[in-house]
Amino acid sequence: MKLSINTYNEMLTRRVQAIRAVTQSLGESRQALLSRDADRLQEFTAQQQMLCGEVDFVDAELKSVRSGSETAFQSESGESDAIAEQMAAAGAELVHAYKVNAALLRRARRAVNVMINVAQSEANAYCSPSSYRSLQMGDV
Amino acid sequence: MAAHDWVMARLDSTVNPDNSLRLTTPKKTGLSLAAAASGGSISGKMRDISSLWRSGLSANLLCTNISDPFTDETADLEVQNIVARFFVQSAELDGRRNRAGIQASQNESEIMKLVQFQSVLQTSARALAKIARVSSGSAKREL
Repeated sequence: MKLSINTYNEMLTRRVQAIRAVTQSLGESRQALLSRDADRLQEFTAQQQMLCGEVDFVDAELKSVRSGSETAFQSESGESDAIAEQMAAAGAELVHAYKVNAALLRRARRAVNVMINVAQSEANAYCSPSSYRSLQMGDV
Repeated sequence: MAAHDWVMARLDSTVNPDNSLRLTTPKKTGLSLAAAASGGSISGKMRDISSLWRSGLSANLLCTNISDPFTDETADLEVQNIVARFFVQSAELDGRRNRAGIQASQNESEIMKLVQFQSVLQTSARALAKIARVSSGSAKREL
């Protein structure tokens, strides 16, 4: 049982680390977005997807450890409580970072969409055959 | 005519009263019927779009406020502060660039850049959706 609790706590610690890594990556991708550095933004996005995969993997492991043992993992409450606090803090930081990034991303996407619409409407604009533009094109 | 010129032409025709007739004269502007019908009411929007277009892929891109019913006000406020801070940091660099005579955007290639950037933003949004799921899992987690 001791081994199981230790394994469980190690997994929780891994999860906390992964969550913190996602938060850090979000902060860095925010900077990339502000600098309009698409390449770096892409790198950080890939990193975040990978870290999410890791969190999912740890979650699955935690679930299997839990289901494998009927006893609740409460016996060594000192360590578990400390990890629980870390987990809550890391989770809150992630939620905050996520919300800020989502707002920033929404803003950027709206602006880019408007700009693309402007560009596209230019491509689809009707030109009268007698318009200055059409005459110019005819001259070429 | 570059897209920017197209925007500016419409801006001139909507803002400058001397050119207002151009709005209803398709042979000059090629403006759609709907836009012509709305007349001066679009001038404000055209001004916004024009300044947005001129900004290209610059920091102004993130300063534009377009109404969004799904806005998270607290987060959006923080984003405004972040963008403002970023502006202060990058103002000096931009000033140097302008002095060197480098244009903020090259409109011809700007559309391609925008489409690429849009695709990157889309991917990033998908990753954020995944993170939202992970973060909600963290919030609900029972140890």
